[in-house]
Amino acid sequence: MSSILGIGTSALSAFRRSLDTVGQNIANANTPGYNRQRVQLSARSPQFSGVGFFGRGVEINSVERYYNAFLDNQVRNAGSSASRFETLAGFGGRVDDLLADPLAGLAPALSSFYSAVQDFSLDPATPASRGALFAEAESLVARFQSLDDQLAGVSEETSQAVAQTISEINQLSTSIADLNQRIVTAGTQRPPNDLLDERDQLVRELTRLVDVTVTEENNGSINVFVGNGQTLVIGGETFELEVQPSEFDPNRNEVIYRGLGGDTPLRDILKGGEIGGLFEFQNTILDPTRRALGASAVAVAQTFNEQNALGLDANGNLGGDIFATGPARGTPSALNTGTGDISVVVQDIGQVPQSGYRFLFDGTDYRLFRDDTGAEITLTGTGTGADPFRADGLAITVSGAPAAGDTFEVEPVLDAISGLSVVASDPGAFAAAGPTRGSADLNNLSDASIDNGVPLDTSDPNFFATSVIEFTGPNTYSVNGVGSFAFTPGDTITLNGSAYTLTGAPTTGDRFTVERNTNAAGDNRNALALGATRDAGVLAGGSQSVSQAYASLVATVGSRTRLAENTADAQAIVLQSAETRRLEESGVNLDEEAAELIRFQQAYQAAAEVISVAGDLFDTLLAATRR
Amino acid sequence: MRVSTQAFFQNNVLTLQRLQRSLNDIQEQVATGRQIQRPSDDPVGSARALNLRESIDSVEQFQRNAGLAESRLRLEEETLTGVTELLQRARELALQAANATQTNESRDFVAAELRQGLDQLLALANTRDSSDDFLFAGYQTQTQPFTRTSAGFSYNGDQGQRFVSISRTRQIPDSDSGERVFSRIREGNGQVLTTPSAANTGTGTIFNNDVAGVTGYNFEAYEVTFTAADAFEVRDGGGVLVSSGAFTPGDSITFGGLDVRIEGEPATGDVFDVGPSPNTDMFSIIDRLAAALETPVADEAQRAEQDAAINRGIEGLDQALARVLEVRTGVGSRLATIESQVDANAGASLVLQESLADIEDLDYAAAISALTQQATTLEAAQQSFLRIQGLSLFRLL
Repeated sequence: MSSILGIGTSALSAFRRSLDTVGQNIANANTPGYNRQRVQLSARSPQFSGVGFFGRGVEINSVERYYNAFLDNQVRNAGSSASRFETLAGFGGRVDDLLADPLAGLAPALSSFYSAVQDFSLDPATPASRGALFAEAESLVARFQSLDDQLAGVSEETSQAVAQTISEINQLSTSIADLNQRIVTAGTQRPPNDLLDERDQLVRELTRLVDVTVTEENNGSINVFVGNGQTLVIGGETFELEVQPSEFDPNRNEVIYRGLGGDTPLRDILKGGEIGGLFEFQNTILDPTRRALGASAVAVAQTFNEQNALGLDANGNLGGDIFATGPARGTPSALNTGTGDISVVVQDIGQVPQSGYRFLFDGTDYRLFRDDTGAEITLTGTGTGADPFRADGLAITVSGAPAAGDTFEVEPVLDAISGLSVVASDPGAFAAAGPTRGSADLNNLSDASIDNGVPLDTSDPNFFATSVIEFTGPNTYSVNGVGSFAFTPGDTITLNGSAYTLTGAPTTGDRFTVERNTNAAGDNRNALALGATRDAGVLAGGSQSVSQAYASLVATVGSRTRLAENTADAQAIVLQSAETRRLEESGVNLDEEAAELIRFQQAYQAAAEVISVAGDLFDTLLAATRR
Repeated sequence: MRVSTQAFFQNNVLTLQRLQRSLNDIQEQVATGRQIQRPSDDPVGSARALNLRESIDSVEQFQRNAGLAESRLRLEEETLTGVTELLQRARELALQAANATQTNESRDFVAAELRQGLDQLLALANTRDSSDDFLFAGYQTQTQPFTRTSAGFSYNGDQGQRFVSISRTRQIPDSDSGERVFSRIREGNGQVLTTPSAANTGTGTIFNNDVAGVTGYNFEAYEVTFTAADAFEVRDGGGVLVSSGAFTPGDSITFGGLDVRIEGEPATGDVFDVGPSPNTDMFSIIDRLAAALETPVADEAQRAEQDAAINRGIEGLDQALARVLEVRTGVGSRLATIESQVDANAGASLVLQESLADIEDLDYAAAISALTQQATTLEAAQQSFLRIQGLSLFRLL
């Protein structure tokens, strides 16, 4: 009698628990990371009664979750990859938009600046064309700076995003360590499903931020590693990643791992996830873009200044600088122990690759390493002011006494735009005229003529001197009545730092005067040469003009962004299908739960009926004995 | 295969989002009419578009330059047409003055007209362009190039010539220096000038136009002296005797690579200078011609002197006309060059614009059909989602 009651009660209890679990499943149908659960039932061990074994009802073995570690791992990997490319594509898209904006990009500003140079060459005497050119020079500078400011803004944002992500990683590892402890406490006999779900969910969230390796211990706790095996979580303990100012630039953040074996910089070690995407964006899109723009600014400024110095400005003097750029960066590390300092000058922007450098003193020699390839660059020279170290179009001068191991960061063009300005004080500074002129004497017997000279060396002390070339015979001439030089028609005569070309056959007694070009309001020789700098190959080893280099920058950033976007799209689908497969196994299906609900409800009703029958049996027995 | 309720909703939402995004992309293309919204849509195309735009801009600039050069050259050509007319009129007047029927008075009238022409010529030489720059001052466009001084006429400009870029590789001069046009005129026949001495008493005249075969001439100055009416000797600049012989009027005298003919009857002791042509400006040529005409003639010797002066003037005017013609020809060929370059530029610009359009412009037919297709797909996805999500066992419980 009591056995049927016991069986009924065990069934009631088992089915109520099952119904509880179905309810729990329905309640958590939309909880992220929740794995559906089922109560595992089994028949109680039977009782022997001489005639056979009689069952003793049902018992609950455990509550199990549907979980497949392999599928979960796939979701983690896909999630890491998807968020890496999503981050890269997101930030890359902003640079991408910035560069090719038809109004805000560099191309229209360059174009209208060089158009103004051409207009200036058409009419160099008019103040209006000079004024327009001056204004265009200022707006070109403004455009460079606005682009650089916006990129600096993006850079600032990525730095903040790195710091933010690192702090999230630290929080997640703390939570994981905390859950580890609770799971170990709960023991392994009965799985603490909801704690495990929560921890798995945290690990999945962590892999969206950074690639991790997870190993499981026998006591149910997990260990989490990043990078090259740097421990993030071990049991209930965590190691924090830290963001600290860079040794070279206090405004820039570096990520440091504070391990037992000392500090490890993580920039090149952390891969995958949001942080990997952020670093990749900085290394492959943001910094190259800023360097390319910086190089363009230096190229425009240097070529324009160099050409301007070869002509005469509105006041009749050799042209001064029109543009100034920020100096090349050569910063000692904050960790240096010596007093050494370096100064870096860009000598040939066409030879400067788009990379930063590490310059170090190894105790006996100075050595230069490129950041992007890691290759060592051979230095020539001795590093003194008179004979600086030269490599890759740069000149490096060393001062002070560095200690062995002291390191310097070299960034040739990264600060060029922040220091870019128009240094010319007024529109008169543009040099339209050639510096010298040549003229054939009116009394010459031949019709030979001389050109106005091409400046070779404006520092020649006699550069502006007046000299008379007098032909003492058809093939000999003297200068200012002195000397006798051989001449063949078609020869170029180099005199006073300029090269003059004589056309025709001069005869004895012919005189040609070369002198400073004065009063030449309408001379546009140098203005034409200034205009020609538009197409001059100054970048990429002299193969690209500034606008071509800009176009190839746009193409590079565009294709990197496009690659990131396409990969992000593809990874999103991979993630979706991995997640779908995980949910196929672990997710709650409400129809299924509805069916289970009915099943257990009916079973519960039936069990209640068993108890009711047991009661009836008891009543029957009581009634029988009352008589 | 189990489908979890969560995955069902998630996947449907993601699908709808993806469809909406591609619909949005097409909508953006249609709204802007551009195939490429951002460089990542077509990185190579974007870079090519930037390069093409740069080329189009510079071609436009070249067209603007060509327009300006053309207007300056047209002004120069008009001015030179005026100069030619004035020179031709001066030549006609000189021929008219050379006529034996002219008197001292009538020659004065001719001289007066010549002087008037000279003023006009000077004004033409000081022409300014639309920017108020002097056209013929070389580089010194703010300086009046030609002024009359007590010593004659002076050129205040230089020999500079301004160039204008009309294509990436072609620069063309948009002016000529006034010195070349007006000042550097070789008198005589362009290489040799012969002048009778003012002290000559005979009627012999020497014609530069008759100086033949100047191939071996080496810019040497000679003096032809008549030791008698029928004998001559030629000495070079150093007084060395070069040639001598008997002379019959109309004979050719050959020396130093020259072949000189003297007509009329030179008197004993008459001297003719033969030397390299000096450079003169055309104002001085006319001025000297007018001065010669203003000098009254009393006897045969003076007449011969005046004839020689008129001859020299006519020869000078011929040289000036030849120079102006040469410059005008140059201007004309530059204008033709500009015209053909402008055509070439316009053609290039068109091709560039077309290439740019190929890269950037949207194929509307394709875009609209894609838009319709995507919209239909989205609508179908939305409707099927609505119908399926309503199917739940719980509704039947």
